[in-house]
Amino acid sequence: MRGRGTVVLGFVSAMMLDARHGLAQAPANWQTSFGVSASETKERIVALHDHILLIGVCIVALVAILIGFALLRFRASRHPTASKVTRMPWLEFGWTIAPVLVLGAIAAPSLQLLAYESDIPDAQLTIKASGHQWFWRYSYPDNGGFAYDSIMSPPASVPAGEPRLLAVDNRMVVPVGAVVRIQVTSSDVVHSFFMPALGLQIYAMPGRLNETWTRVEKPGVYYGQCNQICGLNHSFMPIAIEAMAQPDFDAWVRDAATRYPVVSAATISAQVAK
Amino acid sequence: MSKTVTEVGGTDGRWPVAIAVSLFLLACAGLALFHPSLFGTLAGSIAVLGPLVIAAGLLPLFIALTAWSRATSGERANSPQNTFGPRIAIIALIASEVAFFAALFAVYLRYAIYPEIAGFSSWPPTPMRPDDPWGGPLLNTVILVASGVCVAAAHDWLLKERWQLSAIGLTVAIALGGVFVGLQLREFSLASVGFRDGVYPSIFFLTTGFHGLHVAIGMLLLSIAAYRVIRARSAGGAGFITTVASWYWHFVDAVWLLLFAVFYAWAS
Amino acid sequence: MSTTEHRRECRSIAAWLFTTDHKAIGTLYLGFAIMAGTLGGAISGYMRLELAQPGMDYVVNGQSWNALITAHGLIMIFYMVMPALIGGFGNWFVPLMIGARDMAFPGLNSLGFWLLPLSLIMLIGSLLVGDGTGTGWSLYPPLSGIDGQPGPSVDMTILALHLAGISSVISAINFVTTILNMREDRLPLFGMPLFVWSILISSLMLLLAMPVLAAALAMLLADRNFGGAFFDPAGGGDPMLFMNLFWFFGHPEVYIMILPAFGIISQIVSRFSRRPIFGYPGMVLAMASIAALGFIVWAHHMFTVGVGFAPRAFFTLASMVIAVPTGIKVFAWIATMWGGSIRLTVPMLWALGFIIMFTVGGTTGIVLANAGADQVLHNTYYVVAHFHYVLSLGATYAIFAGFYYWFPRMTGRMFPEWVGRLHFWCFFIGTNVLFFPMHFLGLAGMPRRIADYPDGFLGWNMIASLGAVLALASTLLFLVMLAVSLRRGAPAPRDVWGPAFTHEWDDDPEMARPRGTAGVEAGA
Repeated sequence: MRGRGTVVLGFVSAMMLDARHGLAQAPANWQTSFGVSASETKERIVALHDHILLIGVCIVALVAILIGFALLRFRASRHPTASKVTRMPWLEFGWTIAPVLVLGAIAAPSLQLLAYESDIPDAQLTIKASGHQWFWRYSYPDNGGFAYDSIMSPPASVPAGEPRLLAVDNRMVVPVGAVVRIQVTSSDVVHSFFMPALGLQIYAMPGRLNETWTRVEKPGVYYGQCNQICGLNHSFMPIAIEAMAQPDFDAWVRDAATRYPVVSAATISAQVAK
Repeated sequence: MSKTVTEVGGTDGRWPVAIAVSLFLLACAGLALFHPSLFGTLAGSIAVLGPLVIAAGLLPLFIALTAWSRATSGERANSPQNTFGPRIAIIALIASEVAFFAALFAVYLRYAIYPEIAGFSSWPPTPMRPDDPWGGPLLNTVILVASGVCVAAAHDWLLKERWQLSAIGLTVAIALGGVFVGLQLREFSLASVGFRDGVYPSIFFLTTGFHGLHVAIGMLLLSIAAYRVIRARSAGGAGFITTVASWYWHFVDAVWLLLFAVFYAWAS
Repeated sequence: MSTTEHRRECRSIAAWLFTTDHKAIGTLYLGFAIMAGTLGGAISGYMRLELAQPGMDYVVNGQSWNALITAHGLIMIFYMVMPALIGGFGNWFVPLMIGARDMAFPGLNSLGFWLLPLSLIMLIGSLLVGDGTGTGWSLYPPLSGIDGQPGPSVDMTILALHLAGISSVISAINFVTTILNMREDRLPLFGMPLFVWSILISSLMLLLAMPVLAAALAMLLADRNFGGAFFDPAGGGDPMLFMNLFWFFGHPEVYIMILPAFGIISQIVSRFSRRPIFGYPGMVLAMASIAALGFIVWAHHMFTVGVGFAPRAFFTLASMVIAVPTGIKVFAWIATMWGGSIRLTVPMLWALGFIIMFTVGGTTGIVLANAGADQVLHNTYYVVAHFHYVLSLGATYAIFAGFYYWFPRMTGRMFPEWVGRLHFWCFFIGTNVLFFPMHFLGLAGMPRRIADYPDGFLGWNMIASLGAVLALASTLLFLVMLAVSLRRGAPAPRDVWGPAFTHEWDDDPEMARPRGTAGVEAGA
């Protein structure tokens, strides 16, 4: 895969990769729309997108058909004398009002979605994600404050079955079905915490603590990437979230609390202030 | 068409190119100041010169601008023209300057209204305090407003062909502008905080500094106007530049009044 | 080469250098835009080569990749699209259309142009010196700060943009003055061709937007070199403030680029439908309202930086409202064709390509305007697809449309019609194959500005790279055609496109004979 293959070879390998990742939550080759939805937020986003897409396709089709018809009907050979009319107030009024109505049909569900995303429900768990050049640090203040780094697995030693550039050494772990508040900040430059499967994205801003939330519906491993240019290894700063059932999560927490050092709140706030 | 053709390759096309190159050299001078090592063997002398590098960079620009203005003023004197177009141009220029200062004020107001976002409990952040507005800054305000009145009077006198009074008015205005710049520089040098001491001094010094720069440009314009008034001894040759200078000066005045209100009076 | 010929050649170089004639400066702008576009296009070809398959096979590392994407963006915006649309066509045709002898300030016009190549030299220098500016064209601190990019590159980029900004403001002042003051008698503002209106409105936007960029860059420069704390959290500064300032400039900038494109399309659609543009006052008001709205939608570039519900709701609604005046323009172009007498010439072909592709870019823009949906689309390839549909397939189509339309007027020569058509269809297919799959990649979650991608993104990336090959090949075809037509093109007939509604085609003694340039040859 790393070599300078020919186009044909590339196609073949693309097909093979497609088969390999067919069941994973990572992006799949020739995918033409959103990947898996693992949260209600993402499902609502997909619904809004499909709603707007339908309207958009109709608009583009309308424009293309009108132009096509005009080309057939009014080409110089068939229609040698051009009309002299340059104003038709009712028509102009109509094509000003019609888009307003269409936009209204988009704006209403759009604002509903935005309100749903912005209103953070009572969280059962808070996790802090801090962006660093070029890895993420996750900490669990509700569970004793342990923290650990999540670094991309080197391409040469990606665990079997895991996708290159998306696999990490330590995943962020969340319980399925619980409302998780995610606080995002950065210790250096701007990063973006982006998890497509959960419909989640918020910038990691130095000097600010941003908040968002999610409730993962299905167990599994979900992949995302840092989504704001952050320097040399911007391409190599993946995010992997593993959602597991509550008992498994509790067991993981007990184990993690012994394995990872505790990072005090003071350290974190110092980091934010920095 | 014939008129267009005579201008092609004519002498007046040389000065714009010279000014473009001078601006490029000025940019290079700035770059040299920030990164002397880029300029190889010159690095040593750049280090010695320090900020004077910028002055060296300004020199060709100044020469080219002077030469261009001399070259074009001769042409203009021969053909009395409609100044409506140039007036539009000056208004457009001032509009863009307004946008520039609006951005600076927006930054200041953003921190002043929401200091908590930047982690401050008050604005200006303690222990920084602006100077007592009713001392030096008020004196500066009076000086600048007085110079504005002088410019307005000088412009009016010029339109009434009383060129001597007009020249005196312009000269007094320039002198007052000089006093203003001097007082500002004194304030800067006595300030208890420096540019590097956080976001408040950064925005304070950048905005007042850019305003001071505009005062200096305004004084330059007023000086050209005064020179023309004294030499031309009539409104014909000096009318327009005086109008330009006075509009610019009033704009600089207005910015200062806002600065005084927001950066000094409101902050304390 | 004989001495006389040599002397003549030198004199003609001096004539180009020192010219203040609006047509010659327009030609300089166009030539400069073609050169810069070739450079920016070459960089994008290199980028597509790298992205044709996973792995980092060609670029040295992520930093040099980031420097390349920055250079590509800045070159295409500041040194290709703007110089071509505003400097090139604006200089050539605004004075001719309004019956002015030249621009209001020919000297300033020359200054505005010559700043640009010098600025581009500075920008290219930033790419060659040190590690390059690896920040993207939006130059967000702290990445663009002295800790993020310690070398001289970012400072050189900032200085290059300052020079380009001065050039833009100067030429904007010149256009505003020319259009407001130098119209021939009896030409009312609401009688001006829509192209002139578009340049006027773009210039007014430039006057208000460029200085805000200048202020933001001055602060960034101060942060980097004088220890300022404008955007440095350690000193109480806030990086989000830079984003606000940048996009307060950046979004109007998008309309500064697209409005002149609208103007050109209006001229062409009207001409080849053989009737004046339909709904002229509505078209002017639509452009004016796009410009006004353009100043209050900037934060839709910042939906995910961590702002609350109310601002996101406001900027969602404000951004969507722009669809209304844009819709007015598209419908009015169609209405102009409807009932017209349409000739599908090469410029008309490009114009129709523009209308359809811009509509595609416009509808994806409506998708992106929704803050709620933007959570999964922001900064993905969906955004890359969107802005290339409005710029690469929008503004660039308009540049080619205008170029083919006015080529006979500018050179007195004709281009081979079949090459123009071949160029269009290759470019049309190439750019669509290049950019359409990027929608899929974006929906699948591929971040923009990455040099290497997870293997699941391979398929569409490869297709996109194939499209790039076709698009670049057709551009090469255009360059060859240009070189040949400039020297050997058949003399253009006086009424090359039939009856005109605008004055740039009026009788002109110089139109009768082929020539390389309008004013320069005559003067030299």
